Amino acid sequence: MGKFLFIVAIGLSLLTDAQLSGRQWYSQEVIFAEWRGIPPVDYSTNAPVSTWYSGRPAKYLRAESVERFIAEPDTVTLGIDYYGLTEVSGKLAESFHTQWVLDSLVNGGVLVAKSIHGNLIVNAP
Amino acid sequence: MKLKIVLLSVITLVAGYLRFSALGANPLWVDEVGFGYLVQNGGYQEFIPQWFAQIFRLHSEFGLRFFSALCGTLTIPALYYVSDKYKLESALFVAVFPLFVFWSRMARPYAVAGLFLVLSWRYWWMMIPAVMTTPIALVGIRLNKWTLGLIALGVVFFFIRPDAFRGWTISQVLISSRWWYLPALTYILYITKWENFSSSLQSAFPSLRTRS
Repeated sequence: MGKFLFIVAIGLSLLTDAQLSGRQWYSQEVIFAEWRGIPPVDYSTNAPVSTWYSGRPAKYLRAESVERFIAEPDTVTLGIDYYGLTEVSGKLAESFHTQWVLDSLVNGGVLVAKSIHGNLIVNAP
Repeated sequence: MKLKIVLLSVITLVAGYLRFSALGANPLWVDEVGFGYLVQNGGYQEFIPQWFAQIFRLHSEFGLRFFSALCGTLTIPALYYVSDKYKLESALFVAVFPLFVFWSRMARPYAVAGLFLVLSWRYWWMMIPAVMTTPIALVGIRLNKWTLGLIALGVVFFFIRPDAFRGWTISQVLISSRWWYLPALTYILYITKWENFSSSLQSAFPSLRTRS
């Protein structure tokens, strides 16, 4: 009986291994966003990763910092991903109604936008 | 015996392939970046993987994940050697089970802890009965391999990473697969050694004989 259960479990595991690609594994808790090659930004929806890859500290855009972000007197740059583990990240991404923007973000892409008092301008790549 | 060693080698190679293939392909995830900063700046947690990465100056995606993948792979032969029963079956299961494969591919410490759990398994078993028997006798839970297994799972789950509960809701804790890496491994170890330890438990604690 024990051997049989092990064989069933091994079979199910192999089937799962074969079907899952890197991005889909445990996608409810770990999502990779492609911050490699993204230039330094002033604000980021995923500041630790943004800072790691760009080498320049970015301010975290989270719910508690939205007002400060909007009140910035100058034009600032914002790095946006969909899966920054904060609510702002997903909501910001979903506020874009252009399909390519949504597709890019949902597939793990990262966009850089210019913000003038919270009005975002995203340039197509 | 020679055939078993060959099979174990093949299983270990499969485990290694699943853990090391395209290891640096994905960018770092936010928790992995946290580990990267530990390696870069130092810190008071995740000492062993941190020291390993610092000594070998590992900062790339592949480098930061290397030690975890190595420990995840070494867990397979370690499990084989500490198991009494289902040796090859449990080794193959751990080699391919997505939970173990995935978290061995992250720059996180779970696979490292898993390897140490397996290597120290005999000592865990020496301590667990002594800690558990008194409360069990008091509340009168019927002792069998399932209740002992559940308690062992609980002990590992709650005490191996108590910081898991800081700022997390219960649902977040329960759905986070990472917390199941060690309990799941514990359970497999437990299944493979039950008969061996059941008899030693019963000889060490006479009260268990009437309850098991």
